[in-house]
Amino acid sequence: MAGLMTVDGVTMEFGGLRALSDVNIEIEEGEIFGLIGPNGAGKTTLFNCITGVYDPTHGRVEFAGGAITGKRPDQIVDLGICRTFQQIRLFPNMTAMENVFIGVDARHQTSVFGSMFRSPRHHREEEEGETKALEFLEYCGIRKYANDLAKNLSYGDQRRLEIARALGTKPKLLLLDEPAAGMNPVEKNGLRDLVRKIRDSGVTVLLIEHDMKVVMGLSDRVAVLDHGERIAFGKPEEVQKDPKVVEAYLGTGAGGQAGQTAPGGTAGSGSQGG
Amino acid sequence: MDCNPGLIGPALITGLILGSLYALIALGYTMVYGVLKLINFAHDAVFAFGAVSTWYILGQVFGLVGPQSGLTLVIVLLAFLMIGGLASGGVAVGLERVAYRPLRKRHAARLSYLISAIGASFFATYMLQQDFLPFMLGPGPRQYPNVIEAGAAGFSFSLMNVRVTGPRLLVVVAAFVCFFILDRLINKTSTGRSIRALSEDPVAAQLMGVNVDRVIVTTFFVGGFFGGVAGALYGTLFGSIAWNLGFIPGIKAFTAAVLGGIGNIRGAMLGGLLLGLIENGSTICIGPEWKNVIAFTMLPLVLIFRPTGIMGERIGG
Repeated sequence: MAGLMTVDGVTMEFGGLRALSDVNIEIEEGEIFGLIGPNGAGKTTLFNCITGVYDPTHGRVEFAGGAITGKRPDQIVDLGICRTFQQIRLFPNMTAMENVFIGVDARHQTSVFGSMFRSPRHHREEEEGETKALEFLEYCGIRKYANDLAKNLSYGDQRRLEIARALGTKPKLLLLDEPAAGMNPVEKNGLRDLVRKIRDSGVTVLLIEHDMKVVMGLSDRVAVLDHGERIAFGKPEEVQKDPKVVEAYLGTGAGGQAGQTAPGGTAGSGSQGG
Repeated sequence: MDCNPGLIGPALITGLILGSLYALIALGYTMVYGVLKLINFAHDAVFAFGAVSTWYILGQVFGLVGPQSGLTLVIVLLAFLMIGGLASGGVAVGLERVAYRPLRKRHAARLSYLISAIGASFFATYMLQQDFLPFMLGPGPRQYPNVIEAGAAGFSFSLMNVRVTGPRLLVVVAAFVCFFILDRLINKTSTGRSIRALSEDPVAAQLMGVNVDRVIVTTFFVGGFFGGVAGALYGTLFGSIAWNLGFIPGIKAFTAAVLGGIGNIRGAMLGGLLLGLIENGSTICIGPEWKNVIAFTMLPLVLIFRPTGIMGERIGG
């Protein structure tokens, strides 16, 4: 296995608040990498640093051999990183297919004139794009909702649609931010199968998840963040036994030990508004 | 107040013609609002450049005067609409670059955009009043090339006791063709999808690979383009233009956009047509000098009773 992404000493400060402190993580190609930690540990902040929403105060992120720190989010998508959101951020008044199409469009080139006057290239890209968008919906098990507005899908299906939309951009690395949040046990099982299927298709997955059963069952390796610092790192079974991890979860009063199901889906983890 | 039923026909037809113009201009306000949540108050100047550019390029440079006919007329008319559209689209893009983008990069407060827009609008308008460059109109009115015969010799037909001339028909037909093209562009193409995505959630759009700057430029261009088409139609309809031609149609179109639901493209079309019909419909019962009073009364009325306008804020259909 080769290194796909390196998070190298990333520190993120908002005013006086230090949300991430010298975080180092290396993701290898083809793995499912779990990122866990109590609410407010900085997990979503790290996602924002990787995807270009934030520019880290110190440190850098390298992806596929080049630095991506300082690039625009859409440029990072072009390089092959795409994500989902902890709080669902679909385009609510667009159909499920159009949502995925936005991701697929990221790889297209038509100009506004091509669109306005229906150039042959535009026509071809639209037809191919529609086929691809439907394939990704099928892949995520929600093809039957292709023509429904995203806002009318059930919560679990909206989470699947977010994954389909991200896959539409053809990522090498997929970042999932609490994909199981708000799902019932049946939906969670389906999600686990989907994430494995995505990995087996050759996409590396970086997963933030509160549900310990989901994250420990899926991940090849796990890193634990607490108060913006990486406090543990390794195979799931090792990390679960790490006293620092147990302490982090008990100490914050999160109500569950590592290895058990921590309360999932609580809003406000990370520093999204910062 | 005594109503004159004989005026119903003229009011409807004039309302439809002017309403089509308002609607075309309103598209620019509503599109920019849809993606940036910003009222582009300089759009009246963008519209004016559609008339000024065609007056200068086709009238002054190519020396087009007098009515054309047959195929020549069709080509000339297409040239008018395209040149007007491209010129205004270009002005709108330039405006975005100069007056808005620097503010956007600095995450300026919303009020700053409004002030910048008003400044840009007055700057462009009063530049047209100067005469040190050939395309500037100077202080007086200028004759616009009358390529369609609007007099007794020209094409016309009678509808509800109103004489519908070539220019009048052209305004309505061209406007509806534009509505059709834009509606398809927004709802059926990749460009339209990215505009809608940006209007719904700019952060998510960028994180799904949408190049935000490019889509914003596209939005200004497309809105400006249709404003420019409206400018060329305005010149053809009235036969003369002056440096401040953008002012009244501009704020009428803004009113129309609010009436239809600012940010909503079909709303802008509907709002424009309705505003034209309402203000001209009022002349059936009260004097024409009340037209503007009635039109602008719509602004507070809409904001009080239906703040999101008739069709709400959604940009797409």
